[in-house]
Amino acid sequence: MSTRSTRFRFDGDVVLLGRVAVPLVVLALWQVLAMSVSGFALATPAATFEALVGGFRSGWMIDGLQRTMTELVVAYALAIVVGIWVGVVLGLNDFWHDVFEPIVLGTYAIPKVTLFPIFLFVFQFGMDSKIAFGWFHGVFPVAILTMSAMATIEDTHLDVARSLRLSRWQTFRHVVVPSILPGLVIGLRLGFNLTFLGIVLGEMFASRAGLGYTLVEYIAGVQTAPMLAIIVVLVLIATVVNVGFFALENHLGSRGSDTAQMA
Amino acid sequence: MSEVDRGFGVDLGLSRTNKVRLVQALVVLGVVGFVEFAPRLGLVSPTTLIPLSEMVDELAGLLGSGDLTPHLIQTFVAVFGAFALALVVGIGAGVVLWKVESLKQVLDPYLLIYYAVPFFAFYPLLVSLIGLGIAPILLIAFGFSVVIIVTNTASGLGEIPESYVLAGRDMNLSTWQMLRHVYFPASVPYVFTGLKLGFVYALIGTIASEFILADSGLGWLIAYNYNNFDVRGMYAAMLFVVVLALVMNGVLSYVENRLYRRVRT
Amino acid sequence: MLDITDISKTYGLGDDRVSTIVALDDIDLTVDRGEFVSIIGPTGCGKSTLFEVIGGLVDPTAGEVTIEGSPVTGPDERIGMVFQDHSTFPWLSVVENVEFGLRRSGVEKGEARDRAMEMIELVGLSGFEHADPTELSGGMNQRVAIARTLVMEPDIVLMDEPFGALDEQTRLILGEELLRIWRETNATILFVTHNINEAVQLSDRIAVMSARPGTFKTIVDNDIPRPRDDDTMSTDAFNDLVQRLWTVLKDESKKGLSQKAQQAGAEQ
Repeated sequence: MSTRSTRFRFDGDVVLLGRVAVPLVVLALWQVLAMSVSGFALATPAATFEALVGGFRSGWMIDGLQRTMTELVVAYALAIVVGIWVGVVLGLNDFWHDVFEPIVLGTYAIPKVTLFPIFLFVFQFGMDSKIAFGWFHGVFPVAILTMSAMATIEDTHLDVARSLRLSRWQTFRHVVVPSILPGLVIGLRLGFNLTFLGIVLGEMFASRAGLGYTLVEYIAGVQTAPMLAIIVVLVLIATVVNVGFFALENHLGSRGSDTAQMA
Repeated sequence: MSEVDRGFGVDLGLSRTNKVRLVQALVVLGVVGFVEFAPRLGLVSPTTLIPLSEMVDELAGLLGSGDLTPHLIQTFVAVFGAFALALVVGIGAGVVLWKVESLKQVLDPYLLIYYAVPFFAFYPLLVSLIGLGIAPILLIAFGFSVVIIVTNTASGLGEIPESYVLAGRDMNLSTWQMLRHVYFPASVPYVFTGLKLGFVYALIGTIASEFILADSGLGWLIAYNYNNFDVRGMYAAMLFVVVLALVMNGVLSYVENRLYRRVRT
Repeated sequence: MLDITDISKTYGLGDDRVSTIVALDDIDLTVDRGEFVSIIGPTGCGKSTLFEVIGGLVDPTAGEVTIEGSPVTGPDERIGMVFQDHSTFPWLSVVENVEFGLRRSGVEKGEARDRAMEMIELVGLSGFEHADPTELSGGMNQRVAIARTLVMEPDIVLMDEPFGALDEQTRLILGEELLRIWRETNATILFVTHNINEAVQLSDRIAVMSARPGTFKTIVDNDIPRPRDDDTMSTDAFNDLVQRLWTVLKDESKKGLSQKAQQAGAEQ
């Protein structure tokens, strides 16, 4: 960048050291905060770890995880299939793209949690409503990013495909898919994050099982150690999946930040 | 290729732009029509969905009687308070990250993962720390809103074309003059995009927090009415939030497009 | 061999598609087997439209393109096309790009690879078989594009300003390379360009297009003896021909520019 000379610069080692230090600083702050308030308000990291291990031993954590993960996998799979389908269809047709783009973006801006009661009316109290709600969160970023990735396909590449007389399927498989893959992967990551958020929110608001439900139960019972243990598990799941996606994005050379894509 | 894409078969003699608008209006009318007539025609049970006109009626009643006012105040204070805080902190932090390259490098992976964390899980934690009321809601909404502003500000400043900076240097502008006359105007559209998203996120954060655990506010009102089988009251509050979100998004998108147009041409 | 007869192309214009614009008007041209023919013309004269019509990517409003008497009705295996730029696939290596068309048309893997390797050697990219297009210069990418087209063994190769995005030095070198490849493969080439020097350096005949509506003002034989090298470009014969073509083209370029200005004004 142009402004490099005006910036402070250290070598890569310092950056790496800093990156390692961030979670340690968070842990230390947590410890200090826990010690300065009563144990009822905030459990220490050690107590939380103990509750985490206890939760896996006694099984309540595993039950909750199973339920939440089942909902997550089904909702996410549906969000991917529908999102990519909608994105490709709208990306292939200029007219319908222009019609639906502002509608899709507008709907995306509505706080979806507002509409959650409707999902409860339609899908009842069980897993279905959480799956539908998670899907509703995740399908938008997948569709929107697939749609905008479709716009990055080089016209010349499609001309090449036509001049080489590729069939529709060959063009899709060998030109469209590799062209949109980098943008698509960003959409899949954001879609996962929002699906996850939707599932946990749904469980927190109205459920009889799942980690979100258990989380709210422990708050009501003012048991901060198991509550924090659940938060740690949720954060770990999100982190692992996202690190995997980042590796894939780097491999595919995806460009653009989250913000540019979501705008 | 360059062939004319007529979109749909019937040619009404309209220009393409007007056709797009017509079909958009039809889609929106279709949704509105469904909400209005599906319960009336018995396609959907009236305990599940009420006609749009009744939602409007109920909402007008609630607004007129003043029953909605305390919830409105609570939600607006949380949304705008969180957003104002996020704006000041976010832009400031964004400038710092842009200036201190190594700090940006350290924090980059964490900033990227930030929105992956199911954020509302922390809300109960805040409630147990500082109790119910507006403070934990405002904090969650702030936390939800601030990072998108930080990253947009930092990348907006970072993506200013080098030629602008060189031109500024060539004219011997001071640091302050550079900020005031080069960096700031050149990055406005990008920063604004962050602010737009920041506002939407503050709204989502507020409504969702109220939804889960609160004792007042629009989100709470929807959840409360749902739990007490007051379908009319629930849909009235829902309608208000949806319209508020759509209007704010529309206004901010309009301003955003104008800003980008100026920078692009 | 290639016969272009009375080709016209009209486009609908603007948002309402009511007014029309005549891009091509009554184009006639015949290209013989083994010939190298260039089409030059001012910006916006419809050269690229003509290229797309001959290649079967766009249907003409009137007229016909035939090869050995049988009509071209769409993308055709007898025609190979080389595009201006950004046409190589960045997600494939050089050799995968070159064998792309063969693989898609059902040529078995080993054979496709062998033929692609041969072609890569012919276009002078030996040693870069497994490089990514993004690591290569614009000129090398165009070599890849040329190899990808030639490996399909088309009867005629259409090229739309293939060196248009390159710097002058690279353009000259690639021009000489193209002549060598043309000799070695006995290809028939129809070459679209806006560069007069390039047209004179390469072709047997040069067709000069008018400003819109695009039509051929004149078709000039280029008798400058081959092989043509750097010295050729400083001969009187070369410069005379360039001058002659420029005289024809100059008026058309001015016309083209004022059309462009009018169009921009109308859009405001």
